[in-house]
Amino acid sequence: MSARDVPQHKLLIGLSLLVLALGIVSLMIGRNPLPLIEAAMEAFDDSASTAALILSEIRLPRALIAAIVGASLGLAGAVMQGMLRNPLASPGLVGSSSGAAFGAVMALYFGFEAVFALALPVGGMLGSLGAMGLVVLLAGRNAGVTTLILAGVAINSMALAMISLALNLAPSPYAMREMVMWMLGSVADRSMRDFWVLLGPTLLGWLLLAGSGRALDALTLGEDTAHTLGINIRRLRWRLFLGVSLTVGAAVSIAGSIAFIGLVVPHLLRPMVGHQPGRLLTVSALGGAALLLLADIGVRLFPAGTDIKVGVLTSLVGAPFFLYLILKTRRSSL
Amino acid sequence: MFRPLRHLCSLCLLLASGVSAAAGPPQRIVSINLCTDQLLMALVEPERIVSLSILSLDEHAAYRRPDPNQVHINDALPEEVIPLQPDLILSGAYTNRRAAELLKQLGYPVEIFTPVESLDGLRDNLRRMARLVGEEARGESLLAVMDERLAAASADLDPGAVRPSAAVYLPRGYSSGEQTLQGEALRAAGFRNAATDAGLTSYGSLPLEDLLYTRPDLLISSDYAPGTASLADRHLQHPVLRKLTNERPMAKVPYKLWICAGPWIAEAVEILADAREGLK
Repeated sequence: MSARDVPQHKLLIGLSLLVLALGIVSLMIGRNPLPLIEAAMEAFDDSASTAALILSEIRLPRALIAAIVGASLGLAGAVMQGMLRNPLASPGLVGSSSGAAFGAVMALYFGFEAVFALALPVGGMLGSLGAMGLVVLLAGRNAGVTTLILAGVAINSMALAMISLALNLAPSPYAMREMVMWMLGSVADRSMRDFWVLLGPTLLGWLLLAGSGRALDALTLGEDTAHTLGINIRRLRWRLFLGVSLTVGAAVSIAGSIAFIGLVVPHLLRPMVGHQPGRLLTVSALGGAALLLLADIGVRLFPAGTDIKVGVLTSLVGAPFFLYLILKTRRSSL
Repeated sequence: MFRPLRHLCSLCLLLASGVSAAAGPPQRIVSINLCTDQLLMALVEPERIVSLSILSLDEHAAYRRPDPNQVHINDALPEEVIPLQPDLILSGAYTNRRAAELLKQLGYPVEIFTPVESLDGLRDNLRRMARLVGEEARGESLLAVMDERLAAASADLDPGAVRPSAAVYLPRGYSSGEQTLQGEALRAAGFRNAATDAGLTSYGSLPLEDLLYTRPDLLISSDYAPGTASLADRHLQHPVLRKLTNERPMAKVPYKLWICAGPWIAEAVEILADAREGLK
């Protein structure tokens, strides 16, 4: 137990309050000042006033989706780092984000959403599962850091190429220009309908991942030891893969590929849970929600007309952090 | 070594084109731009049109489409245009600039038409084209018919009454202010342009929240590439747009009616005027 170890219940309450506070700030920020209490009351009265519409149809889905996507990415990052026992594992690095983006692009631009309402998250999930499977196949079972990163780079490049190809061949003339949205991510101008579409698969994924804390703790002792503790490694792996691809697949299909949340959040919070992967799961989810809400607030503080995507801010924070991680690993391996 | 030869060729071409110009209206007209295609087809009989741009075959962008078996279709390449021996080449101001400049340097009569954003500009462009191709009378009659239709569309307007407001809302939030062709059409149909309230004077993107604050009575859109799916199209299906206009669906004006300035804008105005009737 390190000095920075915080009792679990305090951590959970603190982070929940932070998410709530950021959510409320998110509702208040926008191009025009919104009288929040008034708008909320009008929305409850079902009035179609401008303030009520803006609150309930534009800002509320934006805040909810940012929180859910952030939570999914934070949770997926914590799960991947626990499962692969590798501090650099994250949805972006092991290809699940770009795979999900490819699946979502195929589902949207080739007309499947018109036929089937949940086509987007399903496409994202299938893409994510496929990409992660390929990375694990390439890197092998007990992959070292280098092998894992290389496999991730290879699959990410391939996914990016496939996304470009798909957008180029897509029937819509708007497709190519939307590449930026898929690669950088955005939660702007989403609707409550997007939120409902996102919610189902996300909750399913969270359910699959939630109960795996004990197994991940056992896994830190090594696979053989975990096996003797009664953990079915194979079943665990499948369950985690499925859970991650559901959550990340759904998140990316609605918000695009938002980088670095799954990497940064577990790292920042790990010392506070005593480096136990099991405890990190929920904490990481809350942390991810807070971080994405914060980034989305930041995006709206830029001057009007500059259409900054939220992924730009997370990258600006995450990339230096990633560099710092690499340097730290280098120093410690000396 | 070849320079005097090149100059001699240019001189010959110049003389040749000069001679044919003096002989009467152009007989071999080539257009390398969508909007000049449309004006040309409206004014001149097919026998005098030698080539039209490939965009004139696009069913969503072209108001009138030629029979590709009867007329040569070009990609605005000088090497295609020169063998056709044109005596008049029509081009737009922004696209194919280099092609037009090259053809001009080689001595061909090239006329450049700048896109216009007002009805007055429309009339000027049409009259200029009519003069160039020797169909002044036809041009005037087309304008007269257009003016009649425009007047009829706003005949029932009460000058003292408040106009209903409307906003053009295209994929990716693109809207049009007063100084655009769409803005003119809205005004001619008896609407107030809601985009002006949001501070838009020309073309630009209008964020959803800003659009909501203007509270238009009607939203107008143009289907480009209908039947395809993209994030841009998805954006237009945002539920708040329906709630904004009390579940009233968007009025649809085909792109081809207001992407190029011509007398066919009267059709767009008539569609909008009908939509205004529907508001009552």
